[in-house]
Parts: sequence; structure tokens; C-alpha cells
Amino acid sequence: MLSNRKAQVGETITWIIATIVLIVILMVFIFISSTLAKTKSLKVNIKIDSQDSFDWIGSKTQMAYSINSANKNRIDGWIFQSEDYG
Amino acid sequence: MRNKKGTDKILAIYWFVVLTIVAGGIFAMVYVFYGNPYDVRGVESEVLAERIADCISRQGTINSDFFAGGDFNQDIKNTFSERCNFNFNVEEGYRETMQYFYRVEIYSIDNLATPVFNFYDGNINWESECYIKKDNNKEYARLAKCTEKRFYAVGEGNKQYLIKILSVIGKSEKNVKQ
Repeated sequence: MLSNRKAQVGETITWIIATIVLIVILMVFIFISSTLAKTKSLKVNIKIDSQDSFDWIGSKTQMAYSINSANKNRIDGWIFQSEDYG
Repeated sequence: MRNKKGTDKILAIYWFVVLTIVAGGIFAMVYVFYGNPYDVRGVESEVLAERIADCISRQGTINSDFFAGGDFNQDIKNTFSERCNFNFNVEEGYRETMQYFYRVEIYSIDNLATPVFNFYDGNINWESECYIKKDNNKEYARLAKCTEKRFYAVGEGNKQYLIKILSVIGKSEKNVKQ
């Protein structure tokens, strides 16, 4: 009778621990989901023919240089100071 | 034998409880992930800035509409959005406050401190939000998204001009979880 009760207690503890482990795993996955959800923002990444990223605005400057390339360093320096507002 | 029947019943109830917990967990994961909207304002402001740049300069030369009588055409200040076919209409629920803003500043190569010509359109109240330093904080995520683009173009008589575009998108209600 006593050994039977001991076996039942052991089995119950196994199930309780298994349930706790299950809940903890679920909580971890919910936390990962919420962390991933916060990173849902789209970024611009224009690529042409699988080449490197294409700078659309930069191409305008290059075309203007083909017309008048005076003060190139000064212009490049000014463009480089562009603010990144994130 | 009677005892075994009782154990089976308890186990069946336990399995239903486990099933409910797992189903609830999966539901919570999906709800949390898809409950957060995609923040597309960064892309929107980039696209707006590029469209403005396209309207100002093509193939390195500033559009001839910008000049009248040897100087900048002042009409552009009021008609630029219309000339570029910009439509700032937004869906129902966001119409009370305009959700867009842009500012264009054109500098002469001789003076990079003061623009020789500038104009803007949209809700100017968004502009100040660009200059607030943003941290990875939930409160800051609600601030407007801004993009600054700079490029060089040639005007009348091959005169050199530098152009700065600031485009701003509000719409935080739709793009950030409240």
C-alpha cells in the first residue's frame, strides 16, 4: 500500500514538472514572438540585377559631375554631412 | 481495476488541460506577432524624398521650370506639389491632420550656409520631431520618420547648386502599436 502510494506521488511529480517545463517553453516562445514583432520595420534596399545597393540620389550627383565637375571635393564633403534621422 | 479507471479519467482531463495550454500559447504567439503593425514610414519617407529629387533634377540638370527671368521662379513655392503630382490624401480617420511634410533647400556653391531658394509643403508641425534624438524607446517610436537627401545639380548657365530635401511621414497611429 505504502509502495503504491510512493509510486503515485513520483508519477504525479513527473507530470507537474513536465507541465511547468511546457509552460516555460511556451513563455519563451511568446517572448521571442514579441521581440521579433518589435523589429517589424521595412528598410529600403534597392538592388539592380542582384548587384550592390543602387544609390538613386547619388546617380543624380554623378550625372551633374559629367556636366560640371568643379568644386568636387567641396560638394562631396557637403553631401557626406547628410543627417541620418534613423 | 476501479482505481485504473479513475487514473485514466484524471489523465484524460490532464491531456485536455495540456492541449488548451499549448493552443493558448500558439494563439498568444500569433496574436503578439501579427498584432504589431509593419512600420513602413521609413520606406515611405525615402520614396517621397526620391520622388521630390526626381521632380527637381533629371540627368544632373535642375528642371527649367525652377528658373524665370534669370532667377528662381517663385511660383514653384506654391505649385511644386501639384507639378509633381503629389497626392497627400490619406484614408478616413487621418484626414484631420496632414500626415506628410517636405522641405527643399537649394544652396549656391558659393554659400552653403544660407539657401538661395527654399520651399515646403504639408504639416510643418512634423518637422520638429526630426530633430529629437531617438532612442530605442517605445515613446520615441511614435515620432515621425524623417529622411534627408542631399545631391548636386547644375542650373542655368552650368551654375552649381546643392539641394537638400527633408521628407517627413507622420502616421504613427497606423505604423506603431499604441
